[in-house]
Amino acid sequence: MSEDKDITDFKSEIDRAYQNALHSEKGGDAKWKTFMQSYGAENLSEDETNMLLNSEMKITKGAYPLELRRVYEIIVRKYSAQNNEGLRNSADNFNMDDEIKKYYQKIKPFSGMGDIFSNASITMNKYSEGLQKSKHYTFKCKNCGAPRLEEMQYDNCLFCGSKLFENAN
Amino acid sequence: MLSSIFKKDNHSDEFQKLIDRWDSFIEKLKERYYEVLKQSEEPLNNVIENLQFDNVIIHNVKTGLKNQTVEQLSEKAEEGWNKMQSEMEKIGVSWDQINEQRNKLDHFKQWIDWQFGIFDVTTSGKAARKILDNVKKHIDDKKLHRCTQCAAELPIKIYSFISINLKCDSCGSVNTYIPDDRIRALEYYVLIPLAEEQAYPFKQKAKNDREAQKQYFKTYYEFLMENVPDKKEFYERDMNERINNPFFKLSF
Repeated sequence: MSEDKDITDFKSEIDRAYQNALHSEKGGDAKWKTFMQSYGAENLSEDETNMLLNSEMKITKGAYPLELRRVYEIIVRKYSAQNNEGLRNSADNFNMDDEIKKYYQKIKPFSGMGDIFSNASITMNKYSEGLQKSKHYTFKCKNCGAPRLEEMQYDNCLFCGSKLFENAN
Repeated sequence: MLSSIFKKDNHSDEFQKLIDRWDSFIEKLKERYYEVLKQSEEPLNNVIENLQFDNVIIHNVKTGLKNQTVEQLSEKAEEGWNKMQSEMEKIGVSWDQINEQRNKLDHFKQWIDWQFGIFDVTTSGKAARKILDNVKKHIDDKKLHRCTQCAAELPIKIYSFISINLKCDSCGSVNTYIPDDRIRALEYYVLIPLAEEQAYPFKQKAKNDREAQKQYFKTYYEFLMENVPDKKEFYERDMNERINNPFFKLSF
């Protein structure tokens, strides 16, 4: 029974670390750093954080996987050292790389998002090209040059009687 | 399923665990929804920042995002519900209790639809303000328009949405004015999204409340009438038709 409880404690501690990392601000916030310190794990330096923030390995939220790994390692070491075979097995069989990869899947930019934006980008400002500036002119009779004198004048020139507008055909 | 109608309410721990699992599943779907939108924030802001005079790309991005959120997550919720229902039937849960859990699925689908609606309207609003800003920078609104025949000043409004024929008070010649394409396009790329943004708060209630529906149409069209005065009559006619015709209720 106690063995089961130890294993449950191990899993819940791992889960707590995971949740804290996942819900911290992008690159890790003060709460996450305090959490790490409570385990005696070393934070990434400011230079290292900046280097990662500008790297190709983009994240959208959460602490960096490397920091979570440092906490996981401490937890695993702690439980492996206990005199409990079942617990030791659980800790030893903890698949660090796999767990870190799963965590990264949660914090990395959503893969489908790139497709949405790249597909949509074809239409970026497509209808902003070739737009015409305002125009201002006066219709004049082709025969005598008299200007159109009535707003609803679509038939003949009021001066010489010629057709003001040509027929479409 | 039929046998569930005659069953008594189930208060077992097993059922409670199922409910907890179902609730947490729905919560996870909601979290996923926020996650997707959060991830779209940066690229979307970048797109809006680079808009010129049209918002076609915004429509395309929103269609993609709607698929990733509303459609896919609602589908997942449906799949989850099928499993939940069969588990409940296995342990003999009553019809009423199944229905109660089913309501959570319906609420989730309504919730995600409404949430995306807010996102949709807000995003289009942001894009509209950016386009409006670009148009304002591009247009010289101090430009004087003079009659082509006698050079008398003409009262032409730069922000016109249709071509107009204007008779010069001084010489009587008719001047034809065709507004800038960017200004004419404002109606569709800017003013309609902004009108929708103004009226949207009434839309949720409008599904079941005829008065809210009228308020929605009134707010929407009054905004357009005020900002597109050239087409005031057209919009007024449209508004009255929608307010007074009961069949337009079906469009919500």
